[in-house]
Amino acid sequence: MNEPDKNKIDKEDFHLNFPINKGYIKRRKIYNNIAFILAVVAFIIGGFPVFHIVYSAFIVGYKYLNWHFISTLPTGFPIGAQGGILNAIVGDLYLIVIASCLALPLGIGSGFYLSLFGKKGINSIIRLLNELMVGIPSVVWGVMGFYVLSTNAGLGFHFGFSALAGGLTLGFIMTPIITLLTEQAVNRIPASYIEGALSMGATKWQATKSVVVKAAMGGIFTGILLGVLNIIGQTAPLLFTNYYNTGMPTGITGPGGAVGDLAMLIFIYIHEPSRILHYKAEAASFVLLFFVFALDIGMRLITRLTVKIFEFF
Amino acid sequence: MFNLKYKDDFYKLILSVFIFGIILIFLTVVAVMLYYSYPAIIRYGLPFLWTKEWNPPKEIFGAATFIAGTFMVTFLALIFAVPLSLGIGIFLEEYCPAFLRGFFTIIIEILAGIPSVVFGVWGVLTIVPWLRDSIEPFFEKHFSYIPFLKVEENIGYGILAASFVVTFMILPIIASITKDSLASVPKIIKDGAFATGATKLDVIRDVSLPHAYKGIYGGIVLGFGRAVGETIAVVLLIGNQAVIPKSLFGVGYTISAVLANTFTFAVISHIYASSEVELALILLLVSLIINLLGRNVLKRVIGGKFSRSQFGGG
Repeated sequence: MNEPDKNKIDKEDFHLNFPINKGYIKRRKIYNNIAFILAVVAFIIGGFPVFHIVYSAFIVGYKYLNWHFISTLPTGFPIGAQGGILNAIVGDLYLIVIASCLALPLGIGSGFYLSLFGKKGINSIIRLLNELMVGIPSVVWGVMGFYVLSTNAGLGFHFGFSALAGGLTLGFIMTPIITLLTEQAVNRIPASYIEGALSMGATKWQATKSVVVKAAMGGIFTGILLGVLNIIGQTAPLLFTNYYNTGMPTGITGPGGAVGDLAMLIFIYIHEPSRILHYKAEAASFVLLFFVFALDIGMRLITRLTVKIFEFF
Repeated sequence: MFNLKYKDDFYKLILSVFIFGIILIFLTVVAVMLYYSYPAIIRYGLPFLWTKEWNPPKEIFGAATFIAGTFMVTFLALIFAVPLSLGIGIFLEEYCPAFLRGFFTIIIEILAGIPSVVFGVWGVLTIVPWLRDSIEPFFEKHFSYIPFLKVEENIGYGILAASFVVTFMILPIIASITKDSLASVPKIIKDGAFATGATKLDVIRDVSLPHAYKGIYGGIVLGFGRAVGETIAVVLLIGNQAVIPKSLFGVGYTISAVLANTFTFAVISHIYASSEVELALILLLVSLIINLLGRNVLKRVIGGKFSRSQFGGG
């Protein structure tokens, strides 16, 4: 009968002995809200240029954005005042194809080597080299491309200012990206896939052919698209290796081998003291941004899809 | 090493040719820079780094002006970009509602893919008029007595315009690495802090940031490396005058801008070209050292993971 009610006593003790400084709690909550608002403001400032760049490119260049602009060569005076940017689009295709011819075998092959045959030492060295090469400024690649590929004096390949020299220089930039992402893609394949193939008596070549390529396809494509995305906007390396051509190329080396390029076209047009060319530079920026965003979205879709496929199996 | 009796060894041989290709590319870059800058290094020696005069006809070459311009643009860009990207990283990882996080992250990552020439055009047609018409007259009116904020020529071009644009180019790198580092903080530590009654700010300040600061530091270093080598946007915006800017609104010149503007003319003269290549060598060495520092830190914090933002858009 005389037993005390435990719950009641506990509750009272708790309330009596636990000090609560209401002002302190309030202050911390206010600080938290201020931090939240600052973070949101930072995000808005950071995200603003994405929209404003697209918006300003569109608002200035919209009257040139038609089929005629994409399908004709630049004419008029100053060159480009009339006509479109066909030379740049064709030139970009030339450059992407030439760069891919160098970078795809080199990058994918090295990626396979590192993940299938690699040992710890060589892997870390090659990985380090690739990571360093990703960080080398593009203008340095341009100087290197000039001396190795373009120049007609001294050592080097003497390609002249041409699509081949420009494309190979862009290929140098593209190679480390593809290597890193291929290695990452192959390493992400569950080890049991490759081990399963090897345990059935397959050689590593057969395992590559039938298992690795299929399973890592998404990651490799991501790497390729990221590489193309990277080189499509490069201007600085092309300044010294391919400059610009207002017409169609007649070859890929020597005189007449230079090609137009979208980024280069924008760079040259914005330098001209002509309002029309500035507007056309913005219109061309919009076209370039369209390609860049299309590649970016394609890359994300491929990554998503392959993740889904993995889950499916 | 290779026994061609086995098919795999043949496969390995072919693949190792590609590996040698990569090593060859890297060595070629370094070798070309060293070989072609050798005459200038011999002739001008170390004083090349602190001589202010750049006079091709008299064959006096010194890189001090350009080095100063490069580092001023880079540091200004970092001053703007670091707080912003810390805020963005914290917002995306801690405050953002989960269903919007993916979309918001894509917005920041897409910023990394925008080509630098497009940034340059945006700067010329948007940032420069804004600085010229609003910001510079305001500072001229109210702050002209502060030497560092004096407006010498009200033209909009200059290191401020260049660093504004470079800010947005390095922002996605730092922001996404900050986000990844914050994501690598073990959830259980954070939950422990929340259980003691901490607010989100307390957790970020006392738990997440101390845990993630190394990764953030690595991100800042990588952002620095990208900003140092930035060429095309800077050429369009910096004003291209070989003077050391005395104020925030002054014009200047950076190493990459000199190369982009004059390298093809420089080739006519042996020593001129050699000096320009020495400038490129400086850029190369800075970028190699910076990336070596940054990657080593990052490898320890977020593993070998790559985020899309670490590969620029040109």
